[in-house]
Amino acid sequence: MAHATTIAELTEGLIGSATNIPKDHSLFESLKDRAVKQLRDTSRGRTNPFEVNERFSGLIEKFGVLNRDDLGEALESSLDLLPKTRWTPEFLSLLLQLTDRPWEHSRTEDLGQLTSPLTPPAELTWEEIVADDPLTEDDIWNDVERGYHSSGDDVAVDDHSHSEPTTSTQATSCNDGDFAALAPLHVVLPDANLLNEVRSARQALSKDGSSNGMEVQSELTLIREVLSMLHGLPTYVFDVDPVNRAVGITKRITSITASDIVVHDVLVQFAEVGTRLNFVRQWLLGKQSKAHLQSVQAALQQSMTLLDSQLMDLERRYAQPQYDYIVSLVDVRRYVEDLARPMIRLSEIIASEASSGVVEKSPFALLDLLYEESCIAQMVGDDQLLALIARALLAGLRTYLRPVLSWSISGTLPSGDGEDFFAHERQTDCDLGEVWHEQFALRLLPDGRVCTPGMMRPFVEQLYTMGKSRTFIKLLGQRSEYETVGFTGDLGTLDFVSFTRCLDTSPLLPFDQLLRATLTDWMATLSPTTGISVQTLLIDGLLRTMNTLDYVFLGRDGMLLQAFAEPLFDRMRRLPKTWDDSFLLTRLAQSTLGTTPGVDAHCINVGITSGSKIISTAPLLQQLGHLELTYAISWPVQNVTRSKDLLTYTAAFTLLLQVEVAAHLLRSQLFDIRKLESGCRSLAPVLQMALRLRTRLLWFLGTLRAHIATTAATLSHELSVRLQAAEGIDAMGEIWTNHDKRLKSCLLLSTGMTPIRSAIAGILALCESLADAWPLLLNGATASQAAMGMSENFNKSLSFVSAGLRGVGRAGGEPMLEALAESLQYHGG
Amino acid sequence: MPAADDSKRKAARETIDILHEISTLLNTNLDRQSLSYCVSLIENGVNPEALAKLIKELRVQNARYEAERGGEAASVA
Repeated sequence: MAHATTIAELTEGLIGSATNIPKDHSLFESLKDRAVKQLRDTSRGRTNPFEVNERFSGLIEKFGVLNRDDLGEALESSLDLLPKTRWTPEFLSLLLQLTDRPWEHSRTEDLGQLTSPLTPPAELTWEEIVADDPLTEDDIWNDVERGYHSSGDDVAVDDHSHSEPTTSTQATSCNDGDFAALAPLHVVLPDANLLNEVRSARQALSKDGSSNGMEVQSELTLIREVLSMLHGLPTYVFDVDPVNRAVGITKRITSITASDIVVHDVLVQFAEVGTRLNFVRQWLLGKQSKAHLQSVQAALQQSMTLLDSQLMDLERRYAQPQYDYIVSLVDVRRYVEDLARPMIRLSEIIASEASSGVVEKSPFALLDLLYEESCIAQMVGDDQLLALIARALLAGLRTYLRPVLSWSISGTLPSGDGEDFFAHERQTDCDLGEVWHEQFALRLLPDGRVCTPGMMRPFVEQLYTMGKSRTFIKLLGQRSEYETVGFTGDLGTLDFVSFTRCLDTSPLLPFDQLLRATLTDWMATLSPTTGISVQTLLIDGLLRTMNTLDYVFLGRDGMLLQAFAEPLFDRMRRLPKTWDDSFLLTRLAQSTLGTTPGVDAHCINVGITSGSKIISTAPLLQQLGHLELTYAISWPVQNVTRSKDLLTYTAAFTLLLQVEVAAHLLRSQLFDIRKLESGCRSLAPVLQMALRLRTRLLWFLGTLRAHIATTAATLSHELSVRLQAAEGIDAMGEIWTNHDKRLKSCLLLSTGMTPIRSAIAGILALCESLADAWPLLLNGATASQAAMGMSENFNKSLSFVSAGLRGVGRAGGEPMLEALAESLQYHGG
Repeated sequence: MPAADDSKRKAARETIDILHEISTLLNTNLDRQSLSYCVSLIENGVNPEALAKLIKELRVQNARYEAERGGEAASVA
């Protein structure tokens, strides 16, 4: 509608300017209506600007052809100057359609009339002014009085000293830069009269009054003094001991609104509160060398600042009262005591810690006291005290746990605060085989407890093991995942806000349980999620070593043992004086026992027990007792076995070797029987006895050999299962120690088994004796008493051994010894 | 903003001036005021051909009206 109205108005204007028809003429209206209808027709398309340009180009060319270059140039220049808008083609199209033979009628001179410059208005001259207003008045040349001009442009510089300056006019009428004059006008001066009362009260207090008289002061004055004292500021009513900061009352003061006794009593109580607060303030100012105590100080300083701001709120109540208050010293006392109660209790804790003896004092005594107080405060529901104490405790604990975190992740001991850390390095250049047990140790207090805060004691062992594990893993050439990714640990839940949240959801949860649970969760984050742990790294090597020991020492492969034993026996017989060459024996062992897959032959070594001397004429079995087979186990496994010497295994090998020698000596005798005359149908009684003895001895050796093999296999299997289930080197070491003890016991190598072992050694010696006497027995050169004697010896020894084994087996609960005893008893007869 | 309006007015005035020059060179017989009305009408979407046709018709009507008035004046005299 608005657009139609605009068109109508413009059309009306066009008709009015293009024609001389008056507006009130009927023709005007009809023309206007028709024109509007015609112009509203939008069915025609947009003007083609290229066509317009072409027509103009054609026109300019025509002008040139018709010798009207002036028109062409003028037109061209006008077209160039014409601003290019959206409607420019339309404008030009309109003009082209209205053009009427311009080359005949147009003149460039007409343009001059269109753009002729405007004549500037004539300048005003003095003649014209004088002509208008002649200067004929007498006083026209007199001086003009200042102030005549009321425009306000002049600076009323002389007035401001006489009249009362108003800020508005002065500010707007001042010169730039005169700020020094402006500044005092904007300062709000306090009313000095308000402080008159305070000044007079101070004057009264500062006077040294008579010692007999009581000073009367208003309660407001007393409250002011009290609050200043509680802030730790000097006052007139109270004095502070410069050494211990104890607060005392200097004057005998009373108030007209309360009795002397009440005022005195209340002031004494305030002094007590002030003393406690000063004590805490003094402690907060003290320099602490330990980091966790510095953190406790910082947390308590914040609490002290909070208390100060709460005291200031109390002051504000009297300095800027929002509504009417009753000024009561007793009321202030009640409020202050409630406010300062946690701080007073804290001062008692600090005093108690400071008073405990130095000798038995733990470096974490304050933390322990704060911990106990937090537990009690939470239990009795004292939230204010709990907030103060627990905040300080947790701040100190967080600081304490930072080096603990570093130790747990990387096995690095702290350098600065190290003398209070629960672990210390016992030996710096420790043998690798003893690293786990000897390098570090727990630091103990004089009373035997571990040097750590009380709340950390349940976790110390675990943390200690974690750190040792990290060191061990580093020595194995591995990096834990935490060192790889730069783990920094998260102590975020160990703050009072998290604790408050937990206590809000579980109000009955004791504080110590909550702390323990938080610490447990935190420690769980320290355990690596990937498989790299000490037990993972050790177990393969450990199991391989156990397997090796079975093959090398316990004759798991009888053929290999025989392959070593028989050349050895042969050497002993042929070279009785020089058979004990270590090098040759070692080569023999490496080439036989060391051929098992998984066994490193170079680790095998054979020698003679140090300090012993082989007597070449001694029985073979006795000489063999000095032979020592050793196997070099790797240093990680040594940390489990706690020794590089495997004495039990060495002794078991020696026993096995002796059994093999005895069996070897007896076995070869069988062939001698064939040498007897073929016609002989019956053997001499001596020979029969000897054969019977031989058979029994062989049976005994076989039973013993089987017992050794069974024991080795059973115990080895149990060891392997237990080791795989073990958590940590300490558990592995314990398992190994138990296994070693059991092996020793089952193979009759322990000290308690000496009589039985001696009896068995006697039986083995009997085998050698029989083997030595056999040729004589065959030839009938030996009397039957010798054979009977040997048989009796054997029976005696066998009975002793089986009885002894039965007794030991039942007493010790060792089923394998009982089984051996039964075998010897029922089959030995 | 007054400064923007002034510049717009100045630009419009310049356009009208140059169009008036072109109009004069092309002998369209459009005075400045009529030209201004034509520019406004075109800016309001009026087709130039329709507008040109209207102007020609107005001139015819105007001539007829002048002729009638001239005849009436002569008859009164």
